[in-house]
Amino acid sequence: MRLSDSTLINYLAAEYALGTLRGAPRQWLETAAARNATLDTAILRWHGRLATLDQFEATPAPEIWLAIERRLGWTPTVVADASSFWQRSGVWKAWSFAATIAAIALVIVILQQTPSVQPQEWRAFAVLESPQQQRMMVLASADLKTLWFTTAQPLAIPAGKSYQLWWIAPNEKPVPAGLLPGANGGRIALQVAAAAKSQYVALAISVEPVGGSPTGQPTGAVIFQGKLLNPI
Amino acid sequence: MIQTDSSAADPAAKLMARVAVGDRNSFKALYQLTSPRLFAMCLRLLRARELAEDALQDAFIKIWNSAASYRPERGTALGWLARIVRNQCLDYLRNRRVETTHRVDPHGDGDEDLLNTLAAADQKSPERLAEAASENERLARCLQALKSQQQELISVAYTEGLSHSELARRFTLPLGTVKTLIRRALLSLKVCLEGGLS
Repeated sequence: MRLSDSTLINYLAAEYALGTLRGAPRQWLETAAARNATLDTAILRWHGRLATLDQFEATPAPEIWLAIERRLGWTPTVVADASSFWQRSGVWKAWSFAATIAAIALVIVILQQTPSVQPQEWRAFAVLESPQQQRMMVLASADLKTLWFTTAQPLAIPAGKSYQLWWIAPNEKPVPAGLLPGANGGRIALQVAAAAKSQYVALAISVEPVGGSPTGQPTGAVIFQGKLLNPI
Repeated sequence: MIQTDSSAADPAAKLMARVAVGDRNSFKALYQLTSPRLFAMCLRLLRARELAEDALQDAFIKIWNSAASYRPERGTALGWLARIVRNQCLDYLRNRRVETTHRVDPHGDGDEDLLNTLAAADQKSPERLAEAASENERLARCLQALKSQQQELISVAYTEGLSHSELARRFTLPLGTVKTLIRRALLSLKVCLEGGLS
C-alpha cells in the first residue's frame, strides 16, 4: 500500500486512533508511521482530537504512582524494609489491648471509596500485618487527614461485627481511630478530622461489636497491626 | 491547517520537554496533570480497575522511556500520551477478550467501585473546565453535527474499544454499513474540526 493520498492517510490514522483498525493493517500502520512523518502527525492529531472529545476524569489510586516510581527504581521497596524492621523490633509485644478507659482524641469520618479526585501527595504510612501474614498497606495524605488502606483481598467483615482502627502510643492506652467500612476491592479511605499526634507509633485493627467497642478500648481479637514507617 | 499545538500553549508539552532529558519532578507533574483523563480512558476501555491500573502503569513506564521521541510539531502532548496509553489498553483488552467472562457488562450492574469512580469523574477543577471550555464547545458542535447513529458509533468505538465487527453485532448492522458510517463520521468530524480552526 502506498501512502500518497492524504484522505487515505487521515482515514487510516483516524481508524487507528479510534481503535477500529485491527490486526495486520494496524501493525503495518505502526511500522509505516515510524518512517512517515505525515502519517505519524495524522495519528498523533487524531489521538489528540479524540482524547479532547473525551472529558471524563478519574484520578488513579495513590499507590499507582508509587508503583511506577518503584518500577523505575526511584524508591526503595518500603514494604519489605518496613516489615523486616518490624519483625526485628519486637516493640509490638509491649502494647496491651486490655485496658478499658475511653480516650477519644480523634474523630474519623468514613468518607468515600476514592480519597480525593484532586491530585494529592501520598506517602507510605504503615504496613499492617495479620497473624496470618496478610498485609495491609496504609498510605497517608500529605496533611495526614486521610488514610488509605489497601489489602490484596477485600476485607470480609463478619456479620454483627465492626473492624475498629486504633492509634498506638508507647505506654498509653490505644486511642480509637474509627471504624473501617466493608472494603470494596480491598480499598478503604478514612478521613481523619484532627491531625494525628506525634506520639503515635503504630496502628492496629481489632474486631468489635457493630458500631465499635462499647468500652472505648479494644475488646476483640487484633487482626492487623503495624508500626508507622516514619514519625508523624 | 493552522498549527495549534505549540508547546507555549500546552503545559503538558513543556513538561514533556523536561521529561525527555530525565527530569523526574517534571515526570511526576506530567503524571498528575494527565493521569486523571488517561486513567478514565483505561477504566472505560478495560472495565476492570486492576487491569486499568496495570495498563496505566505500563504506559507511564513507556512514556518515561520514550519521552525523547515526542515531537511537539507533530501534535499535542495529550495526543502523544493518549496514543501510548490507548495502545497499551487496547493490547490488554484484546488479550483479555480471550477470556471474555471477566469483562463487566457495561449495561449491566457492573463493578460498583468502577462505576463510583466514573460517577466522581465529572468533578473537574474550575481551571481545567475554563481552559477546555472553548475547545470543547467547538468539539461538541462538531459531534452534534454528526447523525445520531454516527455519534453513537464513534463514541462506543472510542470508549469501549470495539472493532468493526463487534460494533456491527452491538448495533445489529451489516459490517459494511458500520465501516461506511464510521468512515463518513470520522471524515465529517475532521472537516468540521479543521473548518473551525481556519
